[in-house]
Parts: sequence; C-alpha cells; structure tokens
Amino acid sequence: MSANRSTELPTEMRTRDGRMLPSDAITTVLSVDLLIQILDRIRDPRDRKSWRLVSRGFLRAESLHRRELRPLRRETLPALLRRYVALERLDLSACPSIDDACLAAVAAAAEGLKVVCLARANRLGWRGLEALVAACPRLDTVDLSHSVGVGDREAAALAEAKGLREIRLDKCLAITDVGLAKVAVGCPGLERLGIKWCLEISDIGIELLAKKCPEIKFLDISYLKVTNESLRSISSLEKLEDLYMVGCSFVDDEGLQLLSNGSKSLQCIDVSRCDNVSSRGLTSLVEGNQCLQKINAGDCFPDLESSFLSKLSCVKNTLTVLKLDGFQVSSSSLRVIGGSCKNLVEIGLSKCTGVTDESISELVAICVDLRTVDLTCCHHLTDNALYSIADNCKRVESLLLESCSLITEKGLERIATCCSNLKEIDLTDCGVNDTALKFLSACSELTTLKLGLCSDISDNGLAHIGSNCGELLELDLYRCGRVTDEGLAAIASGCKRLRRLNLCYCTQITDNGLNNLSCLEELSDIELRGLARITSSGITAVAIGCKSLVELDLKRCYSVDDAGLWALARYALNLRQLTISYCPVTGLGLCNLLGSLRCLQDVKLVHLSWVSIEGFELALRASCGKLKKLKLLSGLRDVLSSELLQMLQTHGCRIRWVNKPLVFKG
Amino acid sequence: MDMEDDTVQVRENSAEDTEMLELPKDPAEVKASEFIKGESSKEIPVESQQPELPENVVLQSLEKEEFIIKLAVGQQSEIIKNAILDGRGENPVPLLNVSAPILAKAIEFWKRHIDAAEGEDLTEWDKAFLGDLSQEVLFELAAAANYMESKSLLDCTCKFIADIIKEMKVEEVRDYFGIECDFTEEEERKMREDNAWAFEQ
Repeated sequence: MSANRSTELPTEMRTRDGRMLPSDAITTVLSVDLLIQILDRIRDPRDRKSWRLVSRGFLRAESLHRRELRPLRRETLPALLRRYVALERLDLSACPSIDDACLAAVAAAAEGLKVVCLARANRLGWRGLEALVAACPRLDTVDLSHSVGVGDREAAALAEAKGLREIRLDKCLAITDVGLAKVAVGCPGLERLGIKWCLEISDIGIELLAKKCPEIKFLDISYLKVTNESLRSISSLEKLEDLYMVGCSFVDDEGLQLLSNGSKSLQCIDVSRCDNVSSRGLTSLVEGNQCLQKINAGDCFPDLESSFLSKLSCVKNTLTVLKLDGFQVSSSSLRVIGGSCKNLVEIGLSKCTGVTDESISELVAICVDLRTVDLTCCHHLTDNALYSIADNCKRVESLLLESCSLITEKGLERIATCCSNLKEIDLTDCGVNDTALKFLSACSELTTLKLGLCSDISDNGLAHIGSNCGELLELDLYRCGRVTDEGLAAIASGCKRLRRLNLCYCTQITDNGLNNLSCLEELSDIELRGLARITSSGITAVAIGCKSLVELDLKRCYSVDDAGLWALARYALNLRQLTISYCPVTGLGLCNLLGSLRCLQDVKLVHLSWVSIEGFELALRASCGKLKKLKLLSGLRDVLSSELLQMLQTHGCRIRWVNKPLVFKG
Repeated sequence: MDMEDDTVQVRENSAEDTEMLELPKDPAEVKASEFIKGESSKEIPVESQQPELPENVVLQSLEKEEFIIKLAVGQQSEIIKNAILDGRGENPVPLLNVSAPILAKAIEFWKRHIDAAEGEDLTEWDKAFLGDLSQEVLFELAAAANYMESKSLLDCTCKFIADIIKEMKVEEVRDYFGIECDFTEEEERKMREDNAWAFEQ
C-alpha cells in the first residue's frame, strides 16, 4: 500500500453526478485518506461491513477503498456499482439471472474492472460478453466455467479483449476447436487457461493454442479426448508451470515421454485417472522435469514399481506434494518414497492397498515436515501408525483417516498431545468414541471435524468439543444416531464460527436442537436429512437466527410442511440451494417459496406427493429466470406443460429427471 | 565514518541503475546516480561541482523549531529523502504540517528502527511506543506519517488503530473517535439491509 494515496483522491468529495458531499465529523479527526489506510489493515470482511455503519466519512472511505465485490442479487447491483467507483474484481457467480443486458449495464458502470467471475451464468451470450470487453479495457481475467450458453461465438467475443491473461471455460460444453482458436489468436498474452471437460476440443485446437500463446503458465485439459499429439504441442510451452490432465484416457507413456524434455519450469503435474499411463511414463516425467513440486498420479495403474519410486530422488529438492491414491503399495514402497523425498509436506495414499503401520513409521521417520497425510481407506492401520505420525510429524495439520476402523482413542490421544496445529481430521467410519473426542478437544485450532458413521459418539463427546474448539468451521455428524438436542446445545455455545453442519439421520434431534442452532450466525450449510421429529417451528427458528443460511437439505423431513416453507420464504433471504424432497408440502407453500426467494437457484423437489400438477406449474413459473438447477421426478416430464419446460430451459435452467420409487424410510 | 556510510549507500543505488535491471522509481535517485557517475567518469571543475550529501539533516517543524538528525534516520521519510537527494540541498527541510512534539515522536520511531539489529523484531517495542501516546497524538502521528510519506511509520500507526477498532461494535467505534452517527434512520436501515442481503464479504 503506497503512502501516496493522497495524490489519487479528488480534493473535493463529489458523487458521480457532480453533487458536493457534505463534510462530516470524522474528517476533522482523521482524513478520508487516513481512514482508507486504516481500513486497508482490517482484514475480516465482517469487520469491514460494520465499518460502513459508523458514519458517513467511514462509508465514503469504504466506498473508495473497496476493490472487490460479490453481490448476491441483481436488483441491488446498480446502486452498489454507483457507490463503489473503484471496483476491480467483481464476482457475479452468486447472482441469479445474469443475462446480456445485465452484464452490459454492469460493464458500463464499472469500467475499471480487471477480474470478472461469471461462473454458472447460464443465460449469458455473446452480446453481453461483447459489451463487457468493449467497456472494460483493463480486463485481465474472465471466468465462465459451467455457463451452458457459452460456445464458440462467445469465445470469439471474449477474444476481442487483447489483454486477457486468464480465462476459465471449464465445462463450457459447446466450445470447440474453433472457439479455442479464436481465443488463442486474440489473446497472445494468455497465461492461464482452463478448458476442463470441453469435450469437443481436440489435438488441433491444442496445437494452435501452444503456437499462439507462448506465455502459458497454467493449463487444465482434464477429461479432454486429446492424444499424445497434444502433449507434443504442450511440450513447446517454455513457461508452463502447472499442467492438469486428469482423466485423459487417450494419453499414454509415449505422451508423457514427450513432456519430459528437461524443463526447469514445470512445477505441478496432475495425471490422475489417466488409465493408459504406467510407471514408465511417470518415470520419464520425473527424470525430465527435475523442478517438480507437486505430483498427482492417483488412480492410474495399480502397481507402484520401485523403479519409479527411487527415481523420485531426481526431484528430491523440490517435491513437496505427492499423491498416489489407489495404488498397491509394497512393504518397501513407503521407505523408498521417504528416502527419495525428504521434503514432503503432503502425502496422499487414499485407497492404497498394502499400507501397514511399519511402512508408515518408515515414511514419517524421514518426512518429518509432513502437514497433510491422507490415509483414507487404509484399513490395516492401527494406533501404532498414529503413534509414529505423532512422534515424528509435529506439524501435522490435516489427517484423513476415513475407514481406518482399527484406530482407537489411544492413538488419537497421542496425536492430540503432539500435534497442536491440527486443523482438520476426518474420522468418518472409524468407530471412535467420546473419549477420543475428549482428547481431540485439546486441539484448539481444529476447524474441520468429520465423524460420519461414528455411532458411538454421544452428547458427552460433543460437550468436550464445544468446550475448547472455538475455531470449528465444519462438523460432520452423519448418522451419529446417539446425538441429541443437548449435544447441539454444547456445540452452539462453544463453536460460534461454525459454517457447515451435517446432522443427517441423527434421528433424536427435535425442534429444541434447532432452536439451539439458531444462535449461530455464520452457519451457512445445514444438512438435516431424515430428521422425522423436526417440524416447521424448528425450521422457522433456524430461518430467523441463522442469518448466513445459503444451503439447506431437508430431504425426508416428514414433519416439515408449508409453515416451514413460509418461514424460509420470509427470513432466509440469502438461501441459494434447497432440498425438500419427500416433505409434506403443498403447491401453495412451494409457490410462495419459489416466488419470494430471489437468490434461490438450485432446488430438489423429488416426490412432493402433496403438490398437484397445477401447483408445480405455478411454482415453477414463479421461479423462472432464477433457477439454474432443478431436480424432479421423471414422471413429471410427461405431465408438465411443454411451454413451461421450454421456458425453464431458455432461462438457463438445467433439469435432472430422476426415477426413484416412493419409499418411506425411518 | 558516517559520510562514508552515506555515500556507500548512494553508490549501491547507482550500481543497480547502471545494470538497468529496472527503472528507478524515484526521480531523485536517478539524479543521485547520475551525479555519482559524473563524478567518477570525468574531471569536473570545482565551481560546477554539486554539493556533497550532508551527514546530518535539519528538519523544521510547523513552529519553525529545528531538529538535527542523521541522514539515514531521515531517509525513512520520502519527503525528507527527496528534499536532500534532489541536489538542491534544501536544508533545513521544512515540514510545515507537522508540529514539533509530533515530529519528535516520529524521529524517535525512526531512530529506533534504524538502530535495530538485523532481523530484530520490533513489534513489541512499536506497540509499547504507540500505546503510550494519547489518542490525539496517535492520530496526529498517523497524519504526519502520511504527509511525510514514511511507510514504516504509517504502516505501524494505522495497523495499531485498526487493531483497536476491529474488535469494537459500531457504537464503540463512534465513541472512540468522538463522533456522532450522521446517518438518518432511513439510511442506516438501508445500509444494515445491504450488509445482510446485497453482497457477501
């Protein structure tokens, strides 16, 4: 932050239409200039929001200071853009109904934009993009991932922005080699490109890209049907640092050989799920790129040959992340890995067979700097493995132990004592008990705790967590059937920053539990599947109190009816994703909900047996323009009017039809 | 001794410039390097020789009170650095927006930072130094740091104030600054609504 700010501000405060702003109290104490300097050192977005409320001077400072914005609704956009005149980064992915007219208006109002995120803008087309490019000369980065309307014509419009350095077109299924060519020719300075899942793209497009855009540093061609020829083209990119090619099944060892030309620039490579790649290809990759820092070779081939593992010593100075999910590991493999790469910070052995306590202890004895250890589904591991990790890797922050069912609270006690930096631990399906939680509660930095399928967990364990883990952000209690309202009370009183909570099938929870949760203002994602005892009154409490509610799953909550939907429609104004499949709601409640909630974009409405055909027609019409994803029973496809379905499609809504039998569970 | 240190400092700058790795950001530095190059590459008659860099700098506050400090101490402020290095040798450097007691505090801060050992962590000292000041002096010091373009002092004072107010509620912030709320009820309501519904972060 330069100290020369005062030269950039106007000497008089004027609004955009030229009115003089009144001077106010705060400027006699501190100039707006200084206020901006102070605001710059306030990091927490909530603190910045309350800053605006202090006085006019503070509001003005904030208006001049703000460089990035993530609006939630289309209606308030014009006012926001008038106030924030210095915006550089705009994220419109949360706004429903962004279309060409809207984008054109936004661009005209915010000419200084450099970074624009338009992910999932299903209604956007080339006209809007043309307007954006024409109005914002400093445009640097555009993200159009998952926008179904984006195809070659849109790519051509985007290519007019010569200065673009980063473009994301992931999952823009309509993009072909033609569109890619337009972008490559139009933006020679391109440094970062994502074309994951753009299945129409072939070797020809990649070849042209590599010729025209020599500055590329980041390239994601995952899941494309490209062959070794594309890798030949890519190998000519001298500045390439990160290459993601997950699931490229048409690429094999010959292709990887082409990428191994002694490059000093390649740092990160992801070839996971490339079925035709073997040890030979990986070996040549490592020999040919000796500055690699991250390798992800998960799920490629089953046998991890020692020849490859010992070749890892070529990158021993730089390699920090190694992911080898799904491999068959021999007793010496991990020792060889440890010997080859002392500096590992992250190791991924998810779903690897043959991982034993001894091999883990050999690995961690050498790789003492490990921070992330993924041992998901390494079923044979016992507490001894945890002892080794705890004794050697004091800096461990993330420990993934899903399905390691032989571990007990003793191993976790050692981990909790030795690894005070522990932030994330996944104990899904491990069968841990309350004593384990007592030990884990000593980790006061814990942010993510997953206890799915641990049916021995009860309120006592949660009380321990609530007492010390004040930083907890995510708690997963999927099918922890012994948890009751008391446990929720303990969590709600101690973990005030909680954002995500999964209580699916914790069938003892009642409305009281939900009342307890209503004090958590940061709670944004709640999953309550199969809770037959909760009623609309509990939902009302949550809707009123959990002000940040964005995602709610109420599938199979057989006692939640229209009253619950009314409460959500009235209070949960930022709700974006909702599942009410199998709930006893009627057309009236549904219609009100879909009509009122302006942000609701993703709804699952399977087996709403009390909603009539007319009810669906009215409700879905009321939501038109906002919905982006909809899940309905396939039987409805024949009875809903084709006019409605057409309208939904034109407005950018993708419908998933499912065929599920009507079965009541629980 | 000091003279050698100061001229060495300037020569190092010129070495960077002659390599032309990047354009010098400060026009004053360009002039200094040209001066040095000129010195070493040709004989200059005594009359047209530019004044050598002084060992000490004299700063003049609002009340015309004078403070004498070493060059290295004063260079932590861009305004002072420019005034000396642009060759006009403006001495004393007039700092008409800064009153004497505030200037004294700024000098104290700069001195401590220049005297710090390599890699010494001064955060505790900074906190204690600023914590001792009254609120009025603290704000004036921040304003002075801004005016004198002293990045280290500005950074320190603003962070200190930011840390104080970030924990406070809106009303408490108003009390701290001694100001009233000047929004109408309607405006305040609209803004709270915006905070909740209009945008994230």
